[in-house]
Amino acid sequence: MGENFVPEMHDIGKLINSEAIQAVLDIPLVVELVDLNVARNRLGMPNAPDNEVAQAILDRYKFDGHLLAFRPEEEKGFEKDIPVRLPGPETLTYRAIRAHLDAVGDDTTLADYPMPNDVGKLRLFLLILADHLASSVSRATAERGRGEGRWEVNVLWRGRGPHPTGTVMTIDGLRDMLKFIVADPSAEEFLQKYGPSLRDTPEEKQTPRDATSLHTHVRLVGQFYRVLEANLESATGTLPPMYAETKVESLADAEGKGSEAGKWPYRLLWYRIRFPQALVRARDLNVFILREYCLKSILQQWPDNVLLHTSDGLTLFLPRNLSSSEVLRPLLVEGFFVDGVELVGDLGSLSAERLEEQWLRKRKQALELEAQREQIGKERKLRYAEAAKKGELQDKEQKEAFEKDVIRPLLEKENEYAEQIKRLRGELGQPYERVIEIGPCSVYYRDVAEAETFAPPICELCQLRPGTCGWVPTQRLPVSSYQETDQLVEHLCERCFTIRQMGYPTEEGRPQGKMFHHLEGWSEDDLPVAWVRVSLDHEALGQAIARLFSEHVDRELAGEKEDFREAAKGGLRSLPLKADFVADYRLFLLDFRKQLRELFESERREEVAEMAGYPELYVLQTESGKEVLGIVRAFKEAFERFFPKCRHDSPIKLAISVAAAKHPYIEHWRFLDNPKEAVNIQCVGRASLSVSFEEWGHLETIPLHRRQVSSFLHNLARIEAVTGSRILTQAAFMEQKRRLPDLVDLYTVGGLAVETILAYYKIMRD
Amino acid sequence: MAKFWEYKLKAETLCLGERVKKDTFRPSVRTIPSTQISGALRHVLGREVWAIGYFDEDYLKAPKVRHMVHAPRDVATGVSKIPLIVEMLEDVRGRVFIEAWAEEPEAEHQRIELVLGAFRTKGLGRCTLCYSPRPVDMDARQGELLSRLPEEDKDKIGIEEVIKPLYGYLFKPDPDPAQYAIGGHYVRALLEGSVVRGYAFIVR
Repeated sequence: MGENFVPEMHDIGKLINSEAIQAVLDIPLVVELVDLNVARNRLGMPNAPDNEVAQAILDRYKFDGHLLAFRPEEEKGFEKDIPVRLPGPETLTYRAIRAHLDAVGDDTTLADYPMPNDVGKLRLFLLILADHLASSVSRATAERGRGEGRWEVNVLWRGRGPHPTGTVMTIDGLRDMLKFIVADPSAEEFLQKYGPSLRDTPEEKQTPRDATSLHTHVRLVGQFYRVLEANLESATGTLPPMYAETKVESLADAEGKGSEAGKWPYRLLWYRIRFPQALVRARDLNVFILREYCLKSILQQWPDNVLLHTSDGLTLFLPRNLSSSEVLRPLLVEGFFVDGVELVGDLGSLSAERLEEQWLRKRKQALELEAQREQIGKERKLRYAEAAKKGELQDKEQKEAFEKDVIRPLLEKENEYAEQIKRLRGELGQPYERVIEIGPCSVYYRDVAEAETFAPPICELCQLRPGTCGWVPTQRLPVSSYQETDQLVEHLCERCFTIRQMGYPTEEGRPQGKMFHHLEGWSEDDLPVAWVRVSLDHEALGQAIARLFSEHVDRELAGEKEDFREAAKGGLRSLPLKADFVADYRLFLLDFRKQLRELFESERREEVAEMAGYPELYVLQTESGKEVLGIVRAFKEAFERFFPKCRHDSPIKLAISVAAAKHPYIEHWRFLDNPKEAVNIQCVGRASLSVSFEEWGHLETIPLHRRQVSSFLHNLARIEAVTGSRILTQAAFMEQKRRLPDLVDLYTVGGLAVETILAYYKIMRD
Repeated sequence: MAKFWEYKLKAETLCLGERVKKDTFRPSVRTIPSTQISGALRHVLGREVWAIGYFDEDYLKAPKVRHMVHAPRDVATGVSKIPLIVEMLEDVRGRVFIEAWAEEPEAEHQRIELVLGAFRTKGLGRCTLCYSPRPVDMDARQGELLSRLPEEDKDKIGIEEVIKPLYGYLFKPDPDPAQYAIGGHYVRALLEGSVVRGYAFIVR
């Protein structure tokens, strides 16, 4: 659309500390900062001298950094503001900064937007839509925050961050920012100059929107804006804009309002990336490198549609008619498949929807209850009408009996449903009814869906395609020549064969596979190794954020009425919060790696799977159970630094699987891929435990060094091995109440199962 | 609508084999595929039968897994190639649903002894099925499929809609193989974890 426009800059004014600027203002500064002719008009003082005008501004107006203007204290409004004078010509970006907040209402027609031309009007319109989509709290439920504004981000999982140091608090800083705005910079220049301040500043100073960083908010606004703009079907810069063959005239037209659905449907999708391969050789781990490579390809091709991604998942924002298979193509053609949830709705409903399956289930339940309630209501009216028609309601006694026996039970049922719906509505937020389609889905590459049957052999790794290639471990034979050998041959499909071959001379443009430096040596010596995986559970993250946000609202809005608090809770949009969480998760991974590097020198460490440079999977050569303890401690310490408020429902899981180096990876992967609690450890064939941080804290207190405790647990392990009975081990455990009260307390007070204590002992005793 | 009988399954050891991995490791699946249990029942009952099953949730929380080393010999040369590590499940508890051919199973079918899965000649896979005379929940419900079955058999468990498929392939013997050969092909299958709308007894 020609002229530069940077949607990310729309909230640049939030970096200005208005109070600090206001405190140093005097008449000469006001004369410098405003266009006095504009001020005279607004103030109705056409012939007043400069000093008087400036004094009037100081007396009756307050500086508002967000809007780059002085606002009258008694009556607010875009037309009443006196904008700050720019040291150069006004740009479209500047006009949008000024106008995006409250210059237009939901029903204002596009033609009335305060922009100089149609291009500007359209850009402001798209910017406001994007701003609404990127907000952490739905406008539908909590238009404004409450309480005193704070400058620090109230990080839900950690508490308040540091005071942002890059905030504009001086006149010089303000002058510098105004110069920057008129220089019409690019988004990259903006994020480079103000990035650190944006990270430390909340999206909104007032709670509950102070929980997300401005950096995440402006980044998302930029992405949403560009997707909306790229999918317009109307001619460039013309009004009214058209998308999905529908023209709209106002925000309400596109977003919907109340029960009225909007006309512009979009899709939000959360996908988890899976691979069907069983990992049986070290080279099969190249699948992680391939996954990373495919993700990078998607990000390059669809940089704005991918709102959020981790190593095994991504959130997409797509127009209605764009197939997700097209976006995910790089993954699908390499044999990955994706599954997740997808929802389609007008822009207004998407701005309040959440992509967690639990939330979607509740929503479905609410819709079903509403349908049932409506049905019962209809039945009640019909029964009444029928009875009246038959003349059964003429007699007072008859009527009372009819109402008591027939109508009242139906009414009670209706009221019961109404109560349930009200409760669910409070939990869900308002606009959930307007979503058009919703549900789980999965996407495969077409050859999987097409091949209904094929002849043996089948690929031994993915078991999804014919095993047309052969892998002879000693020769790594090409595709067709394996039949000539009399050695053992693994039957692989072309995809799995290619993954295993990565690292050898391969096709141009394909990623280079990982070459393990030490793993082979450990296998030859058959040394014990620990496979360590850190993973982020998307579903658990959604639940944890909902819980943390609810607590945040209760704490910060304690003085507000319950209805207001409930509305604020229901308006949560977890996407911006998830984006912030993932950013912290990456820093956490680096911190954890740093500690592991201190614990395990490079000869005893392989870093395998990375999430854009952040390692999530390690192979460590361990010497004792104590080293496993060290890994968990390092994880727990890093976790406490970044996510202390998530320790009860941690969405980040640690899984450690220990076995001899030669042990099949498939057994490790089964365990690592499905962590149940925050800490999960298995010693293959010996013991396995999954415990929360709290339970792990109890386990760490067991004095294994005490001979008495050690011999008792040793005996217990023997009883279990010989009898296989849980009841006998429990009985033997309880018998020791007098001799080892602290140990038995772990069972009775700490709530730990005997099997867990025993598993911990078995893992640690070596 | 088809009717099902519910049986409780008990087995001391079981290996419901997957493809061998790395030439040396043979893992076991963690459910009871319809093809395996139907084949085993067909053998023991001597009639056409269709069944499906899964392991109890409690068992799956902490399955007892053990590894057995086995060196299969080439019958022609009498030479063992390489030791095979077999993953076997112990003290297995599960449920099997057999498509009924009468209102109630005959007295001799109230308890069925059969051998299921791989390494039968090594003593693995001896199972007991005990009839559980309670109604099988055949209401339509959306949820995760608990077992795996060929896609062509999905009507048998009332799958009206496959919402989120997890595909794989199951081996299906040819109906008329040569006398001493086992011929067959792979057919597309829905694996456990697929989200479907089907009979309540087989979804979670």
